[in-house]
Amino acid sequence: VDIQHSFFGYIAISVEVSRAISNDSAMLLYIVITGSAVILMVVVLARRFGREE
Amino acid sequence: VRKYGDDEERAIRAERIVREWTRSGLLEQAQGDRILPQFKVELRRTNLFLRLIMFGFGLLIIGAAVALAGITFKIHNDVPLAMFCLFTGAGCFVLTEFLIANFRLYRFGVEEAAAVAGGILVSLSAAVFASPYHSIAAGQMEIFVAAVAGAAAGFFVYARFGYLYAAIAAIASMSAAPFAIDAPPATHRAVSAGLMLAVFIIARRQRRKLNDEFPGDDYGMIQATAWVGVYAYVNLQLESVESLFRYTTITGRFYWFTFVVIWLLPPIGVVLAIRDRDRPLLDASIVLALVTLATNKPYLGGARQSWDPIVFGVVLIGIAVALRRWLSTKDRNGFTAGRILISEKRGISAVGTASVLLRTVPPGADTNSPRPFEGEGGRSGGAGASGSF
Repeated sequence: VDIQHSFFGYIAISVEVSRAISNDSAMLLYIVITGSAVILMVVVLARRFGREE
Repeated sequence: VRKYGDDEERAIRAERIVREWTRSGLLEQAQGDRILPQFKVELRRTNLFLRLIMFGFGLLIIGAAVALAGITFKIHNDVPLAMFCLFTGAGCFVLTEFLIANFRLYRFGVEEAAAVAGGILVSLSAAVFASPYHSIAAGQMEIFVAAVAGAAAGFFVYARFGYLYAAIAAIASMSAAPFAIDAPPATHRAVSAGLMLAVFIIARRQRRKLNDEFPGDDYGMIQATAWVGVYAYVNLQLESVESLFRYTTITGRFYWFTFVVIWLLPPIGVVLAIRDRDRPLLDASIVLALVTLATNKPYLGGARQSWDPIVFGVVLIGIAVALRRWLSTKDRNGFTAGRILISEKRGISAVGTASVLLRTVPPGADTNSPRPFEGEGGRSGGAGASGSF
């Protein structure tokens, strides 16, 4: 549930950020950096709090 | 050569089955706990939700990174763009190999995204390479080449990493290629259906050899998909069910030939599936039978009536009740109408949820009202008593 919340939160923030950024390269860079951060965060959360199926 | 060992794939499938049987009450919890350690594999996996998130974000990041590199290096012309796509696609495949080899990921989402992005970039590269040379028909050569390259990339991804959806995408891409060639619509459909039939025959051979044992289960799914594909290309009235399918005007002998074929394919599929105890093919054939019934009226040129779905539903309820009673009267070679596995219940509820996606506009319902509502005055709170209606 925490991961779901953080995921939806990221989308909401990104929508607002995309409105503020007009430069294509800057937007792409934003996606690459923050997207990678989200994946890393999900992996860390899953390893810390996840349980085996 | 497959990236994952056959023993690993079999152990993962066996583990999944033991869990499913335990959840469904076919095994005691203690029995399940005793069996499961045998199928332990040194691969990192995750649940479906996280897998989807990882896959979506992986694709997004790779797409953004490739676009960023393209903008930064100012790549515009055809050949440099094609080379760029080819190299980045190859890079994606290398990344997939790296992630699996170093982190032992299995259906984790990220490595799948890299493999899929690699396939897309390679087929894009082939399309851009083909774009200056319009040898078949102007504007269509690149689509044909992209479809063929996409099919090759999909088959490669399946053969190497075992992603079943890559094989299904490859089949779809391969069968779509004939539509990019300048030919009559009947030829497009006949060639595409023929390709699907060839895939069906090959996959069926393999599936019968291996049964449900890996990779027989994959071949079973490919076989069922190809069967649906044959039907989809042959049924000329699918657009009457959903506007997703392009409308084509085919008449004459081919039209009536397809009418006969859509009535033959579902029962043939059901007979083959029951004989081989092949669940994916059985499910697919039953769905095709329903589609045949639903498209029969438009095929014959009959007008759709608002009570058609009601009659259809009543007929189906009657068939279901009769079938249940027939199966419960005595032993039918192990076939039962009872729900044995919990996953079947989940599957039914997923289909129920997905059904809301179907647009159902009743025939005759006029959605473009000639005179929309217009207020004719009246004070708020006065119930319109002062208006001039």
